[in-house]
Amino acid sequence: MKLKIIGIILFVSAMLFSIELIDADRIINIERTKLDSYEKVELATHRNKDGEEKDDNWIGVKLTDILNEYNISNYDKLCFISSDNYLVRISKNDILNNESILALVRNGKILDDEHIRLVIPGIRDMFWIQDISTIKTESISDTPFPHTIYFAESILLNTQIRDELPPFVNVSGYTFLEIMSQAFPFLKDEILIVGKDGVKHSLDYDKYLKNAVLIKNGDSFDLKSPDMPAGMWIKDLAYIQVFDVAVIFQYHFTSLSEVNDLLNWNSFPEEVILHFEKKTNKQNSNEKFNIENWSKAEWLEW
Amino acid sequence: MVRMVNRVSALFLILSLFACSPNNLILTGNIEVGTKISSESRLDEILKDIAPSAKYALLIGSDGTAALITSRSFSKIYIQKNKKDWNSKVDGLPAFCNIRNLKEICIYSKTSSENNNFSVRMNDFEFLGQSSKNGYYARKYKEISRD
Repeated sequence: MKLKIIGIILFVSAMLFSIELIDADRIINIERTKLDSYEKVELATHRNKDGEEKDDNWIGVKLTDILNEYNISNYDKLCFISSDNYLVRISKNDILNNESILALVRNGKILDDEHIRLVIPGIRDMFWIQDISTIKTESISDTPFPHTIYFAESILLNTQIRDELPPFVNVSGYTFLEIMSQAFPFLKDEILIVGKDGVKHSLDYDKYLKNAVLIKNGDSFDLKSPDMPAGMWIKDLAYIQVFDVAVIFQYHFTSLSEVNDLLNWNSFPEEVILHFEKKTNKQNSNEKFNIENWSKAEWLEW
Repeated sequence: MVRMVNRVSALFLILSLFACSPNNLILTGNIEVGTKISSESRLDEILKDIAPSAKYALLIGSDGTAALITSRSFSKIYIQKNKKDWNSKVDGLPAFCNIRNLKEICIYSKTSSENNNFSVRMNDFEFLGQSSKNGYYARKYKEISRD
């Protein structure tokens, strides 16, 4: 009887498992049995995980075989989301130029549905997401220079730092909402957050950032949220953009040009208007932030 | 008492008829209640007197399609009337900002009070995506069905 019940549970859970493949308006559900039906490939990986050398042998299905079957080719990036909302984006180049697989077997052991994993030997294993619930195609829209940029330091100066930021303990900092609401008129929908190391996430405010906090880490701030898996937290938060308004953490940059190197704007104004408490001043965009006007400005527009 | 109720009902009916007048395009959000557009023009010209500090506008079509644009784009958008319908026609902005049969334009204005009607109205919309063209940002939304 017990075995029958376990059998039924396994059968039902296998039936419930599926990866949602979203391409523009199309939604395709790929079940485990479908994944098992693709031709299998085998590959070996070697990586250093927290100082430990790891060698693995993987058997899985080529991501390109799945995409080709559904005629999916018109995309710039694939966005993978796990059941616990972990999210990674992989460029089309990385998908096509590496042997990208959805691994079903690791070192001879068949992986449970929740351990089916993206494996791309050519890129860091922090992108090898498992428990994938959704794969979404994305196109890159050009990113113009924001219309308005606030300097985080001037916002922080006028905001009382907190010693309690639940659920995080023994930390000090600010809530994301209290800092960002001073710059953005309405916090909603997609928000771009970027770390000094170039890690970028475009995240839905309600789903990921509503309860986020900025935790002080020396002179810098780390962004953490109880609604984000820890692997997605941003160390040394450098830049935030909502629609046409951005906040720059000036501490991480020497000039706007350096911000441009990180963001790769497709337009960059020669001059901007710096706003101070009581006056404005036109300034060359390529100047260094250590020039007095830049270090005292509260925000800029162009 | 019955007469009083009838009079109030008649008054509401007349007011609602005016409010639903097909000849005017209503403006909502952080702006004086009851503001309407009655003539064609560029959006920046339309707003320069009635909402000079407007920072964003959500153009809403009768089919629930909506486009959020910034004040920088107001001069790139023409609000035109075709018989009874109002349309937005854009120059150099993402194509989805061309909306046929506009039913409303919702305005965000910096100088408005803490009663932020714009944000309340935005909650009726689902975000579909962001795009930009020629340095101008725009966001596409769809009104959430109340069925």
